[in-house]
Amino acid sequence: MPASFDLPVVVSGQGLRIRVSENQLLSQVVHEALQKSGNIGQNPSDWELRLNGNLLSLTISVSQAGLSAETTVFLSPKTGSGG
Amino acid sequence: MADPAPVLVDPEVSRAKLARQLQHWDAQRDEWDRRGYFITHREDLRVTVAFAARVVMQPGLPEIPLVLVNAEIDFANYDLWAPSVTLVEFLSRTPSIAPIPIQQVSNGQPVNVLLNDHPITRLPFLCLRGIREYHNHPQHSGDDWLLYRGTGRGTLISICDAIWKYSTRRVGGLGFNAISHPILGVQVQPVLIYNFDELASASGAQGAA
Repeated sequence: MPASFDLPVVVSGQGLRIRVSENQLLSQVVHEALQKSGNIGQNPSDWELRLNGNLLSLTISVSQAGLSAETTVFLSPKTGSGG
Repeated sequence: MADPAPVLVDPEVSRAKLARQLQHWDAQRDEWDRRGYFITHREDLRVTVAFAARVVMQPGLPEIPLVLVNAEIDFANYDLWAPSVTLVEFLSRTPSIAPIPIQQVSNGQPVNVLLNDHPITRLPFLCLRGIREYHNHPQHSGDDWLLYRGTGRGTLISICDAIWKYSTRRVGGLGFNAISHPILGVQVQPVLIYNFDELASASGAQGAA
């Protein structure tokens, strides 16, 4: 059974913890983080997840991303431009 | 400079909302320090944030931090209005244009998001959602700030995240261009070298470092 842990996630500056399992896709983690932070109904693809400043693909799993209870990921909205 | 903003939101409300964002900022300050941006001034509803890049002068030697972007963020009438962002010179804090490009990636190509001559302020401005100068630009009258209020955009942290991502994060090191001129001789000019890691991939995403 895959291990579960509480992942620290900072959503637009607001810190919270999301219960995740190692096999969970990051897109699901983003969805749950948006729900828990009150950003209900927002599309995860409109957000970016970063670890140590590096952008994470939402199609990989928690373990593939090397996430643990000691790593903090940062979730920020993509900032579209008009030009 | 533009005229002072009319008071549409009780400043105490805007101050309370900014104070909450500053609490969030302080809680994660290690991350902002690591990214190279830091608050230099806090004055009522204005916060000034400096963005430094770590420039490699020579492999093996310590990186040198260079403040290349300095942004004054004004939360007047927040959050009925989006925050206003003015790029200012680091020492004089007068409106200025950044010495490096501020670009986002669109369809694999860099697109400038720092544009000249806003029709209202007449200043350079960041053309990004969540920033007042974007939403009050006549060309964006159909993309109102109130559509994005409360969606995570237009916060101190999300604005700084965008500025860092599109500017100092991409600075990698210092190089030199050498030109042999028939009259002036050899001319050497220092140039900043940019990382294009997120530009190179179509998705702009990568696995963990």
